Amino acid sequence: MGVWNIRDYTLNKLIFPRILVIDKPGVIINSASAFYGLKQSRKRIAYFFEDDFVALDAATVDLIGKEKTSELNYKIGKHFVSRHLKPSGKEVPSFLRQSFVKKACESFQSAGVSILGNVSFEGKNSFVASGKDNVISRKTGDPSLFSGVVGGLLSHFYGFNIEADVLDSETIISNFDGVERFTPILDEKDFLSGGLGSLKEQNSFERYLSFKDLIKFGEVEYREGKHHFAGSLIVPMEVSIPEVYVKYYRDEGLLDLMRDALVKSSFDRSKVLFESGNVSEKLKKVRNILSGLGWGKLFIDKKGKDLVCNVFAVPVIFGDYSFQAFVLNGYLNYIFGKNHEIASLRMSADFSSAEIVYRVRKVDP
Amino acid sequence: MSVKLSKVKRESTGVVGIDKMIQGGLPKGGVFGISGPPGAGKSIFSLQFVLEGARKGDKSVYINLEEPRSNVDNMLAEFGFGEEFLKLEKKGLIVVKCFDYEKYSKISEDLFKQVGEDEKIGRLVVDSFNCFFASGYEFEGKNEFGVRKMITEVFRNFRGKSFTTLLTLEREEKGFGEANYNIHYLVDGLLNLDYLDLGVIERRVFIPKMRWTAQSKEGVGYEIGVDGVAVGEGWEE
Repeated sequence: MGVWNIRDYTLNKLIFPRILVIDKPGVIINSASAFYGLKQSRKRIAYFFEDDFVALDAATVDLIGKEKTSELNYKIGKHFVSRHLKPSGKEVPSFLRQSFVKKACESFQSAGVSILGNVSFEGKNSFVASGKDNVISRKTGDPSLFSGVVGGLLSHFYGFNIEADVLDSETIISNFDGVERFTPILDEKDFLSGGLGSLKEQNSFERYLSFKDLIKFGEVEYREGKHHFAGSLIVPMEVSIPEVYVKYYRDEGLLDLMRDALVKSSFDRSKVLFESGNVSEKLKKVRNILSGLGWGKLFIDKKGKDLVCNVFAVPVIFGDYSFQAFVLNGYLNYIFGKNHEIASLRMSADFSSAEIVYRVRKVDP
Repeated sequence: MSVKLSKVKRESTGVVGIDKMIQGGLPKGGVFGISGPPGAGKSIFSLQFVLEGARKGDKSVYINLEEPRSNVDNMLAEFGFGEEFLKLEKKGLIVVKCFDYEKYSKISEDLFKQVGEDEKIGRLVVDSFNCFFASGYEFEGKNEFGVRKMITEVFRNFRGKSFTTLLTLEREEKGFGEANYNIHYLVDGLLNLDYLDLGVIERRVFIPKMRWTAQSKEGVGYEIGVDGVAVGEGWEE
């Protein structure tokens, strides 16, 4: 590894160490220090399929056009940063800002965001990030989501509002002069204020898988900087990021579009995931995939013609499990060979568990 | 992985394919653990280990700390090797001891001491060793440090003798209200039987630790069939 200078050592060992602290069925938590504040923060993460975001992007472009989709993605990306980083309230010294930005980019890069793999500052006020094979945008051709991330990162560390632009599908740039003070989106909920109330084991005679079980058995592979499961790329995200997506799509009146896109995407993926086995085996597989990817522990019951899904240790911060419920909808449609819709989605008061009732659609679309 | 014979004397496990993963067998005289979730095949493996010792002419002892003898007989009846096992038991080459809860307080002093003093024993199995923690904790009123000290003394006792010990362990990691007293650090080697259920059950054996051995780094598939635990075909040297 060689000898680190004091700055690198401080950044790598003290300020940005990342440690997996909990990896049990349904729950993955890693620990990282908040930038500069030297305050440990724990973040719950889960793995999501890249193809779901690609499908969502394609459906959005179809409806509202490329430009508006890019704008939407940019806003979501900028909001991501407020969820990914936890501002300590302390101003970053100017001589450390560039280093902090680069380190933060590295942490995104480890999640497969390779467009942030090659970053440089040109002078004081000019930033370039580039990289091939970036998650999501390698298929959509539009890295606006990540230009939002760059804008968010620069704004957080410099303290004033900075925007970034897409130069091409593999390059993001930003030229900035500090004028307007930047106020981070400080959601009132801490990273782990919700979703952990039922971390204690739920009674079950059957074994649920953890992420490390999937790695142990080679079901999850890590290659070329990205995780893969069953031939699909999966992306680790702080668990409230899908909630951020849902919030912005709901605000734009696009929630139905999101639902339809995700249901279809997961249905299509089911052809590979649930290729063989009877219904019981497929249901066992779906709940083990969910628990292995950190989506909580799923219990499925049939009540009449309804499917009642109870999820414990739900991976949400703001109480919105819609994104995952849409994805699960697609799996269940495939497994049962019928089109279901969400009849109800209820969260417990402490957001630790969710009950989703899926009902067969009366009229097929 | 090419199987080179090492200078360390080794005991065949009696399980097809596992010996290949550990250069021919468990290092003689060591204390080894076999861990895994319920139903993984730990007890079956341990019976096969005992049988293999008896086949070679070694006196082999199987101690069950949680089940009555009838359960062990039922297990033997399920497998093709059961008859041979019982024949060797009649000849005195296999000794089976089953304990119930009331006798736990005597395990450390009476049983393990007796075993330690019998120079004819070549192999010892304790199934499951987790029950021994309970005995130390409850009957001897020991705190966690005391139990750990007790375990270390037992290990020292086992290692000082000529027999090879296999302990079945119920949990791999601390948690769920049970303590494992860092047993995985104390043993000389660990076999881990595990399974993944993604609709179809896939079983694999992993060997995360084996002193004095260049063990296989990859997990290898296994099955539980009429001959007990067997490592599947397809594992290549």
